[in-house]
Amino acid sequence: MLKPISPVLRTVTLFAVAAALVVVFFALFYSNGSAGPEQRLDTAIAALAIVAGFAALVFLPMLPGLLELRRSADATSLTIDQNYSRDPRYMGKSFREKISNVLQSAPMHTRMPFLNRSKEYGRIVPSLNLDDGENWTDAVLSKGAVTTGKRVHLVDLYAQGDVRIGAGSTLRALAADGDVQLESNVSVIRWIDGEKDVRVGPNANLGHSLSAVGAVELGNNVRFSRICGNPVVVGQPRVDRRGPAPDAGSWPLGNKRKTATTTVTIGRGESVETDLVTRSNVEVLEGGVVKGSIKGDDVIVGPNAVVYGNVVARGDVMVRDGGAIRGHVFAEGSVFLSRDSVVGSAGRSKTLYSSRNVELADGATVFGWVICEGDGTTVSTSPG
Amino acid sequence: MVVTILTIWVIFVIAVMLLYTTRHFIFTFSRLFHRQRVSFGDAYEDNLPHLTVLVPMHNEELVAADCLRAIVASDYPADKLHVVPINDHSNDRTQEILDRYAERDPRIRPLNLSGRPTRGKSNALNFALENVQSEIVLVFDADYTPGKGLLRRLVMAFIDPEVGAVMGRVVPRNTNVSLLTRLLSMERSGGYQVDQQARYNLDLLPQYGGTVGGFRLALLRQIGGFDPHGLSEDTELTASIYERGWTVLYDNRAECYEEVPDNWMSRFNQLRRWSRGHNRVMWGHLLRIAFARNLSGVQRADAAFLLFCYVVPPLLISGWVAEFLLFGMGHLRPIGGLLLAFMVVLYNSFGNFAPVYEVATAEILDGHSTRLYLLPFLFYSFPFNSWTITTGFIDNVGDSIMSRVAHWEKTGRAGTRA
Repeated sequence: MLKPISPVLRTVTLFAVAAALVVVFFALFYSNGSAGPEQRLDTAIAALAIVAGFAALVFLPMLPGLLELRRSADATSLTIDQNYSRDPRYMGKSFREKISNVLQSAPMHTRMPFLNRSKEYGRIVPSLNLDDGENWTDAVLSKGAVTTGKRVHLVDLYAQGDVRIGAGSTLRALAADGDVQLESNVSVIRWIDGEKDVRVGPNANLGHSLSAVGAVELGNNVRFSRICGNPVVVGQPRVDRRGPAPDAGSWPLGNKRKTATTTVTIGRGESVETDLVTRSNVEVLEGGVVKGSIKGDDVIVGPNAVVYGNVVARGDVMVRDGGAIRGHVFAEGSVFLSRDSVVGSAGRSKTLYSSRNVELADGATVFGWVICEGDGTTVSTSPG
Repeated sequence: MVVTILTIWVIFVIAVMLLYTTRHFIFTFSRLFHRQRVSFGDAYEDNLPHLTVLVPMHNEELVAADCLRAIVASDYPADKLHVVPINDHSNDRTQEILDRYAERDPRIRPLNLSGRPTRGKSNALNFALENVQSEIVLVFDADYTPGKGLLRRLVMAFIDPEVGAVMGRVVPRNTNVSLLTRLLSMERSGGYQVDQQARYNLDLLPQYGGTVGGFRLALLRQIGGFDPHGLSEDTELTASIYERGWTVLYDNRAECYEEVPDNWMSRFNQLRRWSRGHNRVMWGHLLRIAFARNLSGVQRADAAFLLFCYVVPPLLISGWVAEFLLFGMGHLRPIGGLLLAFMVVLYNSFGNFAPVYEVATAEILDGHSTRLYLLPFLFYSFPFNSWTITTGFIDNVGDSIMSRVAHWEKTGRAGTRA
């Protein structure tokens, strides 16, 4: 319960009143020995007016605050979601739960008000087959597979089987318990979440996020913001010829550290076992190995070079053909993964984050999460 | 001669105040217009390291249970989490509460410092750290209630090989209790939402605050632990980290509730202790950090600002006194440089507009509305803060002259829940 007048305010008020009384007292009795009672009174009134004016100047700015203290319109603490727990698949899981609660017990094909949104309805169906150009405005819980023709428009969809979305289609959100296949030019407005694998055709726009328990295969010129998969790969999944990282099971926290203020270069085939921290750039040349983490401005991992720790860059990160970073990649600039380059390793999910753009070339593979605040695109030369 | 000395002193005070004012404006503008640097909260890792959470406690019966409940409710992998509440000479029911929770949850392993000679957070942490095995250690005060995902988020900061310590944002949960708690809530907003984040944005020196954050154990061992006579182990660690070429990462989204003092005497004791401890660290580290080779010129300047901040209020008060003396001696002419100086000191006397501006910006960024009406009250809490900090400064000077050992003044708790 807020106390309207605090002890401090009471004290300040008391001091103000006391000061006013002292001023009046001095004005009345000490201002001018030869002055008559009327002049003394005038002096006292003038002094009091000055004190009152000063007090007004001091207290007037506090008036709205005093009202706020009394009414307490904005007195609550900043809200922290105490139950928040990071989960790349939060949207999909939450949606499944909500739509199931509404529709699971509803009769088949019956329209039900959905998620308290005005004019939005949902329905449960055994399976769904849509022809070319169909426009489906209800949210759907499909007990089986979903297959659509071309240029279909869907809103929210939860399929408990496999899903195949035709070329040129648009959908708002999709959760699927089976495999998902998006043909070319599919546009997602919000998100997709799959319990198994997701295959994305060329020229797709993946909206806010795509998450999958299994692999995510991306075609050419796919635009994205956030993708989570095991792994996320452009084109067909590759066998990681380098095999699992020797320390893939450990948290990369090196106690050995090398600091520098100039560019650090790890030579061809050279191997170092330390963290590298510099105020300049870092380049690991072809076949070089860094058993530790890297912090620098721009970081370049050369062809077939491997970094077994994390890479944190104040600028860009470039991983050239066949290069690998086994830990996390965080860049305040952009990230470019060239052909057959890898981030993370099988069974060890990591995060590739860029404050700007991410470009993934053919065969680029990320085990875990790809996040970019700018534009994410794939550049593949593989068919489909 | 006296007039010359006083004049030079006033000019010096003016210069210092102008520098701090400029710094506050730069921070505010950085927060408003600069690109915000990211932390590592977006990183997801399914193979987290072992983690030890230390919670020093002295007479914390009102808050201990809530704090432990919040920590063990974390989503951090159960087999990798070790919680060590440290009963630091409590004479209330704290030990009983710790024992009860330890029985319920094997991850909680309390330490009891009863029988050991010295009390205080630094000692408690040093003692607990002797037996810690994990690479990462987080520290919370007993009145803190971390959310489910907070431990994971803080630990992720250490994927950066340059990060020696991490600090989250402190959010008062008892904001609506009194005018003081509301003012403290605003001060916290300014300090974290704007000040700390701006320092992080500008690659300056964000501070490890010791209450919702953590550090690498190997680094702390390299430093030699905390100063057993220190009252500001957080500032001490911050300075040591930067001297050795590491950094502190500030994560503005790693928010945690705390309980701020709800009466002026508690606040007086808390702020006085901070000032006393901070100034002890300043004397010990000012030269070392000012000449640290791995810091840039701007970073060294920021380090000086940081270490010097609890000297500014006594300096300002001395400036007021010098001004009045000059006025009394008839050397403060109506027109001239000193009058300008007087105006600047006056500007910085009632509330210091720059920090108030910083607080207003923070409140707007936090989406608050009518609480901004309370801003003028900061003009009146500022003299209180100045006097309290000056008292702590005098304590510290006394400690240095008389080789006194400072004792830890505990901040009172009310046990408020969010």
